[in-house]
Amino acid sequence: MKVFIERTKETREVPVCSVDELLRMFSIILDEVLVVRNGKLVTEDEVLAETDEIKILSVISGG
Amino acid sequence: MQCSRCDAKAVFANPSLCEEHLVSYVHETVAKTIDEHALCSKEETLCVAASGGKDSVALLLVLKELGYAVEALCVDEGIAGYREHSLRDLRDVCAKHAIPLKVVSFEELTGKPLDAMVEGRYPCSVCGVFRRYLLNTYAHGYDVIATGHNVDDEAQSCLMNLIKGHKELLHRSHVRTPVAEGFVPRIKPFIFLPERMILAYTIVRGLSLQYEECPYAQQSLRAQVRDSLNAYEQEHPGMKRSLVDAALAVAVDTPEEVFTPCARCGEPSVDSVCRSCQLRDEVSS
Repeated sequence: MKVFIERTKETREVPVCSVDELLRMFSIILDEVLVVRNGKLVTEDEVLAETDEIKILSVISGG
Repeated sequence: MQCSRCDAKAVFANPSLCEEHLVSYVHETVAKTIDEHALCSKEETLCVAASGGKDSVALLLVLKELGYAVEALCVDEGIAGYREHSLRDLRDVCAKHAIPLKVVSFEELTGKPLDAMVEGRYPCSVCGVFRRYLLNTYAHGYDVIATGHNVDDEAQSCLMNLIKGHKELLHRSHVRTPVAEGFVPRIKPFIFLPERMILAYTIVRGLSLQYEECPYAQQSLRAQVRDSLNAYEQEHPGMKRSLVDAALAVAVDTPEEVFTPCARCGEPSVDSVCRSCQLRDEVSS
């Protein structure tokens, strides 16, 4: 499934997994992001699907 | 994961909340913070320090929906490729929700944008001095200045002050600043909300805000402290909130700085000439 990482503006192809596993795959700390699946927020226990459009949004903004 | 308040699917965890109850949780928390700490009243006009980022935009909407009279004050530092985007978002939100907006700039104050003042200086220090000066100066006439500082911001500030040995600044941890001559009181209605929840709120409310990180932020101690705190929080959930609670308790017992009117501009100052006037001399030389 395709995953867009907002902070680095990159799109990566990853195997199907849960949100929690996805964040660990990229060594991303939960407090730093929100995950959106097909336009909707999902919690870290959610299992994602091959056809999902995933965005990892950065909580960090501003200065 | 199920919402802790209903049968709907949760979109946020800790606490687990669906979209509807995420919104109501944020509103309830702000209302409770305002009430318990006597931050402001519905008879007052609140000047909301607004950048166009998620925290200040969310704050404008939450306060307005809770029935407060709000007006937005934006400080344009003059950071090319950054501030103009969030300012555009802010103008859109204010126009849509009929919120008066005033924009003031570093360039009006000093003759230069921040980008032209940072060489050989720590950008955040320059920015912080002029930002606070402009906010206080232009907020005279309002009852309070409301800022979007959240749990994460406050925990970072507390730890930064300790790391730098600035224990005298610990008194600045307040939900509402004490009354002081020359200062417009500041309130932090978001102080008990996590930054992550505020972003979730803006997403659920359908706000399409540009993600931007200040280009100078990577150079900052704050960024390092933020990353460390996030790592600690992962292992020790609730640690940031504990730090903020401790900071608020310590602030009560920390002596206030003594201010007198600046000899040049009349704004509150710890020296005979305030830091803003001193810095303006430096950057114009």
